[in-house]
Amino acid sequence: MTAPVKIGLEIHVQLGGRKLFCECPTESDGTKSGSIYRKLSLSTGEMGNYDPAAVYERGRSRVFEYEISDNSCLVEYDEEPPHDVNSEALLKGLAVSQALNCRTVDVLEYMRKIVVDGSNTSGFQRTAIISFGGWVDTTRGRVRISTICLEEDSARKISDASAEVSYSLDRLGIPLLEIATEPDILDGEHAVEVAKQIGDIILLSGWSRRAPESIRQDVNFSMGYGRVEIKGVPKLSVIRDCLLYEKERQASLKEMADKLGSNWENGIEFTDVTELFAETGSKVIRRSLEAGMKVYASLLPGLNGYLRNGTYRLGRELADVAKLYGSGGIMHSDELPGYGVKGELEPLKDMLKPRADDGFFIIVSDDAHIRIIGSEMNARISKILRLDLSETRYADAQGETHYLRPLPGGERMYPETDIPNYPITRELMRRSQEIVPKSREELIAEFSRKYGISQQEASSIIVNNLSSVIDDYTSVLGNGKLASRLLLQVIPDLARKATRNINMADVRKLLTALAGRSAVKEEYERALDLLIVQSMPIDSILVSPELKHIDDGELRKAILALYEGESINEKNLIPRLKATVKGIFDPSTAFRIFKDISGEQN
Amino acid sequence: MILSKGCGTLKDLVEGAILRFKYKQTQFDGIVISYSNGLVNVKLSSGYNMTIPVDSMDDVELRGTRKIVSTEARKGKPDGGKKVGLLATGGTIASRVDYVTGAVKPVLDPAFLEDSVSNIREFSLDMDLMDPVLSENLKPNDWVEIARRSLKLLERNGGTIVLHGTDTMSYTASALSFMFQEQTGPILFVGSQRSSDRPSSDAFLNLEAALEFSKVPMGEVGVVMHRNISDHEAALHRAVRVRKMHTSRRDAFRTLGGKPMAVYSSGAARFNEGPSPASERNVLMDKLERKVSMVYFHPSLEPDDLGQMLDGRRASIIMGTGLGHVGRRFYGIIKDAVDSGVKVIMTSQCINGMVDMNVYSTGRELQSIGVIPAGSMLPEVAMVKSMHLLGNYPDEDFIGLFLKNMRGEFNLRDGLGDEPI
Repeated sequence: MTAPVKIGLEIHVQLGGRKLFCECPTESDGTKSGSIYRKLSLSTGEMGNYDPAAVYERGRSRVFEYEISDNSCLVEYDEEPPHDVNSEALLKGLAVSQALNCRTVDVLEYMRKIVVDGSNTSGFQRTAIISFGGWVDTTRGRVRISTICLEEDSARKISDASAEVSYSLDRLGIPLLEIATEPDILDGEHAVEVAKQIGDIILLSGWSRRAPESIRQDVNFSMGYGRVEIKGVPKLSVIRDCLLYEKERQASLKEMADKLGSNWENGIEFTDVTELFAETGSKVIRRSLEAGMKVYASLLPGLNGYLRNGTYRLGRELADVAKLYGSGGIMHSDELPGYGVKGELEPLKDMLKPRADDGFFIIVSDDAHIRIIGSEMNARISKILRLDLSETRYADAQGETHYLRPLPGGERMYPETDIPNYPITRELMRRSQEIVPKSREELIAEFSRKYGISQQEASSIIVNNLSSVIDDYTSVLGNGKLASRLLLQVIPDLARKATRNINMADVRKLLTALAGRSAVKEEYERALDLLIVQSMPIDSILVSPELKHIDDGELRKAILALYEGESINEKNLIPRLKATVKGIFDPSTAFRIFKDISGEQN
Repeated sequence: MILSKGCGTLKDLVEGAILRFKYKQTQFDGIVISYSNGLVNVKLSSGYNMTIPVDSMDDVELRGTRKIVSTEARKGKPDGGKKVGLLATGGTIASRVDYVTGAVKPVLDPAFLEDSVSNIREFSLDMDLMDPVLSENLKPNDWVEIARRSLKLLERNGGTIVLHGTDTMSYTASALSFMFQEQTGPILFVGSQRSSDRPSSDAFLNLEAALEFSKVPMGEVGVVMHRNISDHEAALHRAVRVRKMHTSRRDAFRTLGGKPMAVYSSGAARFNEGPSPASERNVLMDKLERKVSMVYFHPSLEPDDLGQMLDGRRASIIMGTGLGHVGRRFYGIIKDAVDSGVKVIMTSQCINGMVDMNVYSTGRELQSIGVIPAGSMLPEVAMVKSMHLLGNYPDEDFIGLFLKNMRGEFNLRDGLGDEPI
């Protein structure tokens, strides 16, 4: 009998504005000024024990490079204690908590969560529970929210080699709301619904960063063989895929474990077989050998036919370990000959002497890591065969999950002593109540009323995360309807024709200048065309003849010329006119003149 | 608070009590870390700590107790051959989080450094543990105590490492520099700007570098700290030329007006200049004159204020402006002090650069009154040196010795330094 499937989510949403513990903005202009290099050591938790995930990372003993971004300061470099917690972010977190029916803590208490994979310069992430015990109602029942935390985001990984990992400091310290559900989710579809529903509340508030990675999900899954935490699922659709993948993976591992039994006598022992590959036809191996790596081989006693055979994929579990230690990967007996490895196979077998039920594999690795790779692989097979599948994994874009590290324990947390405990006062609660995010329906009604736009337009504004922009444009233009039209139609249309990315700061500058001289709708559209499609400088746009108003006489002349030259009708009149006439005219005047002319001619 | 069965009274909320309870209608499991002022701090099973008003806890059920082992001293110490003395005086480098109060406080046992200092197993540590103290609490008596203990460690071992808080480290280090007339090996002060409970602590590299420098047969007192904010290099600074120049950065310690004596990087030490060689014997002159004051001049300072700082002292170090100036209104009181035998020494609050009292008339007038220009000597070093000279030599030798470059305290060639700060 299998245990029921349990699925929970952790939804991480970045808040825009400034960072959680310093005055740096959350947005970077992409410039960088040098790098810092660091190592991290291990420290014990509050109970005097080491955390398993941290011990694992130490085994990899790596150097971390941090690129200094323009939106970072000594706090991000771990060269200065954190400043006071960002009260705006706290207020927003409390408001979101109320929208999710959570109860607020009386005292905000920051913790250090030890993370020694280098993603935090300090070696820990600062995090605090702000509320707990809430829920969301979904189409398939209530899903409980266990906790909401306000934490600092980690540094953004740029590259990852075995000995050195590079991060950028641009993301480090961005306020992150972590919303964790209880395992009340029924399946992948349901998980997507829950993630969307929770994500929506913050998206609609307009508080999240306007960036593609501003929402990330971690998925917790178990089906009776231990909890698996799948980190950083970027897209909603991938949640469903990775849950399916994980369920199949675990079912297949269960089947294998039933057949193989739980005894694994550390069967992996590496032999240096580099000599056999001196003349190899495998490009991958040749490249690695040129880079100074070696080829090692080992038997996999009893595992023939389990490495890659039907749904059996034990080879992949080993490959995941190899990659974590900088190896290019493995090639095993279920897939050899292959990958250009052929002639080496017989001498290899002569050396390893596999029995009929033994598998074997080769791995390309540097000298320094091969021992730890061997012991990690043995530990991994043993753990899998004992059906303890608990671990931290990550999902790739295809929804396949891969081994990342052991699950962290509670040992990795201890109090952040640089930040005093912070009482959540009645005044704070009152202020947060005033800004509790509205539901989609409430927002649509409000926007439609406020900007004089249709419900459909209001909905598009919300879906496209343009709430704060329309507010700004409306105040610049003094006209909500025009702001909405520019944002939803004109600018996106022009963007499709443009060859360069739109600089929104320039757009705003241009609109402000035009508003200052009481421009008409057509003037805005023409000016934006010049800016976005033709990349004309703003100063030139403002004096361009294309923005000159055409008087009725001139317009009449132009229409007459068109009328005589080719067949024009009410449908193609305006586009034709726009193509031939430089300057701004009122389409309704053009229609009136056209009707006059066609009346005269008939 | 509502108690449920199994829980007696509030008394049960002791450190280590394992509880199940409700808070705002939600059930939690956790261990009590502390209980005071009506607030219970609980470590939840998730690892988070939560501070809860005791009145808000309901259905409290006591389910057992667990001992909270806070960073206890572990047995054994490295024994790898090369002998080195290690004197732990306290400070951040020997600090850990106190999980009971939540504060960083000094602890006795530096053995926790073992796991993280890569070369420590090459050494056999001869450890001497003083009552740990944050360096802002140290007084000149403590310098003497540290000097005497360092002497013993020097005699038993080659080099000696002193773990010390960074706030007043350069005072203690320069005091020892003057107190040791001769020394058989290096005395190296090491601190850290990030406590060693943090994975990113600078303590590990600083100690690794100090261990490496301890092998060098030199007769100098130095300070070993990060050279920059990466974990690549540590610098060895001459005690009498170093100063803490930042409140929090790892590379807060700087050799002013020159390069550090040496740089440690990837397991090797590289010297910028040859250090003074080690002596055959150790000679310690450990008397200090306490009647020395230091005054920071500013526009609002009144002659009476200065008068109080000169009164009853044998020397006073003035941190003047620019090249070494104070306002004309102080001439009278300074002259009175000099005439009554007080050594009035001029340094500059610019810290960088040297005092030159010949350029402006103010400087020339102050010299004619009898003020002694300290040249490029750092103000704190000038103070410590005065305490040493007045404690051990006759009064008439003072000026001659003060102006003599005894330990490299004068920077004779001011260049662009190590790198701009």
